[in-house]
Amino acid sequence: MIPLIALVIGAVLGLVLQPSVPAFLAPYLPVAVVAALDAIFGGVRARLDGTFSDRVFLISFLTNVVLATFLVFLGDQLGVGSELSTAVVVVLGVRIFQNLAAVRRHLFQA
Amino acid sequence: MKGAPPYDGDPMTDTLHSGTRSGSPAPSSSDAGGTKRRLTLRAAVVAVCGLLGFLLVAQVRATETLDDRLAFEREEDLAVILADLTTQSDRLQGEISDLRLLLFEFESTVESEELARRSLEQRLDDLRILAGVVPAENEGVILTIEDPQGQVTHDRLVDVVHDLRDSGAEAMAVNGTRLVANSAFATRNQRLVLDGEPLDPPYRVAAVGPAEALETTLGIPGGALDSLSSLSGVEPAVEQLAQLTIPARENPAPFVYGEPVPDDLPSG
Repeated sequence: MIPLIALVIGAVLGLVLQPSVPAFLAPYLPVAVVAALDAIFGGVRARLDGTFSDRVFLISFLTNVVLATFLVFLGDQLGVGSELSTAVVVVLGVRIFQNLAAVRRHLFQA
Repeated sequence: MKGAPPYDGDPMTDTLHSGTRSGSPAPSSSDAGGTKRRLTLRAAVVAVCGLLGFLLVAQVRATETLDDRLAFEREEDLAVILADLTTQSDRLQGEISDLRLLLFEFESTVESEELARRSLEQRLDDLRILAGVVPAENEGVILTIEDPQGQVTHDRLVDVVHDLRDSGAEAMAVNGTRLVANSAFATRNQRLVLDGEPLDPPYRVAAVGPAEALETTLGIPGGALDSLSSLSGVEPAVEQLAQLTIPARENPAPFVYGEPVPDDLPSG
């Protein structure tokens, strides 16, 4: 529960502070956010499964974000940045759907 | 969860903070050390969630306006966007020229219809004058023939009318009766009649047309005036008028036998 509240507080802070994204981060932030969302939904699913672990969550969060960002960065260097970021977003989107499906089964038994 | 340190509101420093702490774990993990480590992890989770919310909002705000988005796009993305917009623009340009063409077509159709309408109106006016169903006015002449002894025969009047037509008269009236395509002079019971109506001297022939030419034609030696003057007691006089109105035929004679031949021209 507290992590969710923290999420909301962070969002409110973002609204209040109105941060501007630095240019060098701009291509990576969307992918990083999607990767983080994947980790969050994975965490929710694990929590409902009863297998949630702070350590695993932190590691999955950090690796998700770092790996996704790195992949896009690599893609940029290789000249396929936009394609690779699309690929990353698609893969993460699929995973989010799967996690959401598991959450749904837990919550509604359906 | 309850043991999490108070959230200080700055996710960045929180992450850093927890990172340094988790980077120095006590190898001799006692019971208290384990608890402390668990709390640290939990705090990190909370911090990370706050960070995500913050970044989420930041990213959403960054994509809010197109200008900001364009400023952050990669070069190749910009190229793709540009290509898309160019394609779209080309398509719309094509649409514009198609519509312009259509508009032009419509305009020219309207124009040609207008032309056709005008020429039809002109033709209708001509036919109206010819048929004598409308009054006609313009310059012209009036020929007055005094004939106290009744010497003028109907063929004299036919000659006069013919001479006037020959020199460009477009509408004529004799004693106020409009001459039309099927008008005829005749003599019945020693009286001159025009289209069945008796004519009495003095005869007054009015003609709309080129006044100068009409008068000249009438006055040429051996012409209508000469031959009229040769009759005893007959005094013809020509008067040019700058403005002259020929009345319409009051009761146009119906055409009974003349059936128009249907033309095979495609209508429209």
